Amino acid sequence: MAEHIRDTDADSGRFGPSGACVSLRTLTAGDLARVALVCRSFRRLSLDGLLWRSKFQQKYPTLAKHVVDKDTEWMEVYRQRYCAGRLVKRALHLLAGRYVRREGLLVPYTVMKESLVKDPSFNLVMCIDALRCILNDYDDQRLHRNLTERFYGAQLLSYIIKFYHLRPQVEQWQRLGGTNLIQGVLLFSQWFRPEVELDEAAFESALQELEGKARARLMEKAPTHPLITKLKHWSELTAVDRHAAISAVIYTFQSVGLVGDEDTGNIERSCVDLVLTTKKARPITLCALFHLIADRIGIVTELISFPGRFFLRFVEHADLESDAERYTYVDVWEGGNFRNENALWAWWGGIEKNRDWLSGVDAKKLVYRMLANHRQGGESLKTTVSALEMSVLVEPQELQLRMALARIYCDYMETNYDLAVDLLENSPRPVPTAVGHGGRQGACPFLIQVETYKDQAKSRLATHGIERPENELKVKKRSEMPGVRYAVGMIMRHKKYNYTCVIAGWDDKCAAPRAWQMQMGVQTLQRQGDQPFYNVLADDGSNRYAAEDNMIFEPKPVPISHDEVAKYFCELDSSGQFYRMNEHKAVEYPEDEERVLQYVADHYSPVISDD
Amino acid sequence: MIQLCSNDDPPVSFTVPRKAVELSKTIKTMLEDLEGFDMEQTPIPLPNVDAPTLELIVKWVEQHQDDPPPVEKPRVEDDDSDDSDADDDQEPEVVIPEWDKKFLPTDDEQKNQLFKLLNAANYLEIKPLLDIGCKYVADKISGQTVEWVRDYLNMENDYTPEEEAKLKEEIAWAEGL
Repeated sequence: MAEHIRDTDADSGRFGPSGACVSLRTLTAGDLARVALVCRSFRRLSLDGLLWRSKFQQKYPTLAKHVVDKDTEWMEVYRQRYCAGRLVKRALHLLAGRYVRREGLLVPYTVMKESLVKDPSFNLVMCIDALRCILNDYDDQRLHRNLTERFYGAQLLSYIIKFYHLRPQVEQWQRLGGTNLIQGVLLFSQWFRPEVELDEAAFESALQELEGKARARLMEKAPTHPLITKLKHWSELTAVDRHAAISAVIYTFQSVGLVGDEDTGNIERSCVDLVLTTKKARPITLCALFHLIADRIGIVTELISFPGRFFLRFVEHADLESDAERYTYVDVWEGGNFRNENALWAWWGGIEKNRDWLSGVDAKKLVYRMLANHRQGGESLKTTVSALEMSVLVEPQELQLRMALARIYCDYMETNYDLAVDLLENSPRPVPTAVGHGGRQGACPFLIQVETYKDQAKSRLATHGIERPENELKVKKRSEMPGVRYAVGMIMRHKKYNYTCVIAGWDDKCAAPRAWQMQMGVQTLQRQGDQPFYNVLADDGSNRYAAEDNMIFEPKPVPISHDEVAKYFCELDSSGQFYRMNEHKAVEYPEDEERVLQYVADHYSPVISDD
Repeated sequence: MIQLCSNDDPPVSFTVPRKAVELSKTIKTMLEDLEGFDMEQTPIPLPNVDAPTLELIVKWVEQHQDDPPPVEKPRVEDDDSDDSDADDDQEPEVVIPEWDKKFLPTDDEQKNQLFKLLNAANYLEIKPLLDIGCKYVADKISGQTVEWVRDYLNMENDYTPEEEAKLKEEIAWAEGL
């Protein structure tokens, strides 16, 4: 029969075996790969590039738009992405299991490296896409689903984006002098928001739109303006023309609502691409945008890193003698206002006045200050660490930053000793004058401190290893401890302190040290310490240890905002009434889920669901 | 009315409305080329189609003669055009209508008839019929073992054992797909 096989329409994967035509187009990717084993002609068809391209586009749309090479081996690309997805899932599963009984929230980088990056099949681009797909696969309904995977996924993605994807780019940008402003601010933005794929083309067209608006405004106000007719360069313009040009940009910023935002601690206010949509920005980000737009029209502005607020300035009166008269400053806050030098000093109000503050800075300095805002912003440890990590790439000479980062690695993350040592050992030779305000005198004690700290980190690395110790696994079966009423996953309320919480563990008797019991007044409870005690994650972000006597069912269960929830629970049940343990936590409490379900059924009115 | 003749000896002929027969692109083109001849009187021989298959074809085109014509998209040539439009060039999901589900010879003993029908649809360029038939076959072999697919499609394994082993290894990644 096989001699009848012939290709009739190989392009669409159709062929005629022994009198039949079969289209492989409607096969799933798995079947498509497997049918290659049927016979040689099937194999040829199963490798069909167009078919695999369409499979790939359907399944991985976010990645497909980047594959532009016409000679792409689509089946191979599909294979790589599929395998990356599996590798990522395996790594996440491994991390979830490994950290369910370890303290802390942050996985050491070395462990993430081992579990993902060191795998021989690791492919950076594919893994980034796989992780983004996991992280972005939620909406309002599914916000509290797949918590564990997303929790570790966010850490893994941030790690590989920063250390493998962006680091070389930041270093390159820094080596080239850090003069490219667009590149600098976009690198910053991507650094802090790894889950979003930065769309440079969309950013560019947004800039273009603003530029168009500013031009239109200028044309409306001054139809024969030299920047419109392109007859003159900025340096040849009169003060009046310069003023008019800047005013057009200010007007544009005000008209689209780019006027600054009070909530400056939020990283989103600093990300230049995001700001264009949210319209909520810090002054420094507004200045960067203003500078970029102005530049496109032919206006020359300088970036001024003034204490307390970022400004712009431009030469308004080129013919005047002193800087104070030549320059006019733009305060972008509230959309933009003109200021002179005196107004700036008055606004500053400080005793120390340094004329250097008024000189223009380059893109590198601007990005560095953006980072400084978030190094000290006190938003979250994660943001501080990220800001420090990018800072040491932007300014490798700043030994103090290296020291600060090494300290956090050791003291707060407790685990990145190896990186801490690396930071301190491989810093470019420190120049004493570059260290601190104290100059030479302050430098020496600081260098000694660095040396001491480096030795400490080294010895900790040698004695503790990378990871925190794992708590021993004690399987707790309720059938063996019938006195325990509540179970892991229940959403409870504390009678006295009134906080809402979720139970993350229990002991059938109070297992805390005597001193703690005395201090907490355990003996005043009816059953004293001789009753079940629960490890709970409270809604205020704290971890507590509460007696059964003090706990009641939360009459109106709500999602608990506590970072550790994701470590132990894979989801908030769709009813919103309890948390479901992930498989790793369930090993410890194998009989609790059943209890939770039963209790919820008894205590809450049933939720009518569609099925 | 147009007459169609099967390849049997003696040929079996079918009389079909012109509108229905024009669902076959092959025949439609032929009729257009022979414009001016009296085609009502000239039977068209179909050397690749036997009587039972032709009967099915006739049944199908008569049923579907009033269907709205499929939207013809200009075919984008892949090698020389800008790739951006080609990306959207995805054919819609094929759905088999109820009538066609009953029409297709889907009993296992009839499978050779099904294959003949599809081959004829291919030869006569009746795309919608070909699409639903191919979809049916694809659904049939989906998720099946390689041996089952070979048997179903009357295919022979033309690999050497070494080749087969090597290939199995190459596509092992797709096992979980």
